[in-house]
Amino acid sequence: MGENGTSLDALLALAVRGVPVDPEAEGRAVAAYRAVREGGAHGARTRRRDDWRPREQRRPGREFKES
Amino acid sequence: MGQGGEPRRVQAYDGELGAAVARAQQGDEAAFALAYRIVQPGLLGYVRGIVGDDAEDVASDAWLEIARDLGRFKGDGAGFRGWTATIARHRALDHLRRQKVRPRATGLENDLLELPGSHSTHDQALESLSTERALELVARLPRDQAEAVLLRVVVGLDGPAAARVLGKRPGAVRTAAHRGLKRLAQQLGPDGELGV
Repeated sequence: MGENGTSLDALLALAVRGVPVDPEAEGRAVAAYRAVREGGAHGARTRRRDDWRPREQRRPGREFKES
Repeated sequence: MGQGGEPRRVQAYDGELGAAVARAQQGDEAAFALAYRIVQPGLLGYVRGIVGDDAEDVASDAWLEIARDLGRFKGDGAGFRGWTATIARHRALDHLRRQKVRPRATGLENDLLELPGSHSTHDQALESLSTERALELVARLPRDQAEAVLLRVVVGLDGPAAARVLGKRPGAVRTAAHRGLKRLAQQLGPDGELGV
């Protein structure tokens, strides 16, 4: 890749992660979480798209690639 | 990024993130807020690279879905990044379909961001690049290159996870990321934007 590519990816990662989180946006996300929790909905089934365990732990015979 | 290119900066947080997600799934609201704070900057950067100015709204929609489906998720911190990026991507693509326009550059002025200091002139020149400008340049890449770069570098996914989010072969994603970073480096380097 070369020095330019390496510095650039470090820069992008650093620049983006340095952006402070918007407290209002965070508040809305937490409010949504609270509403779901209070509705008792956090026990739903894991679909294939929700299973992000390391490959060995996933159900056997499943293809890794999803469309 | 290099051959096996693991984004070490992000991995430092993945243990903390995985633990927070597990507690959030058990009903710990503060843990959910922590997971949000860890994931949101990268997620927002990724979404901004696809939809431009509407990124905050799209990311908010994504978090509603993330909160709703949290109980379904299985995996560690790195897996959570991949899962949330996939949800955000679907919201972003839905948004584009509704808008029926291509993603635009944000057109913001160059606000200078304070970045950690460095001793080399080259690094200092790069550091004066603002976040908005960096993401604007990425958003102008062909979409497959923009997404590959954003998922690897900004969201911090490894090769297989990025490939899964995009529904592509890891080799294709690796090539797209390489081309995207190379093009960005050309734009920023000699005779490019910074004239370094």
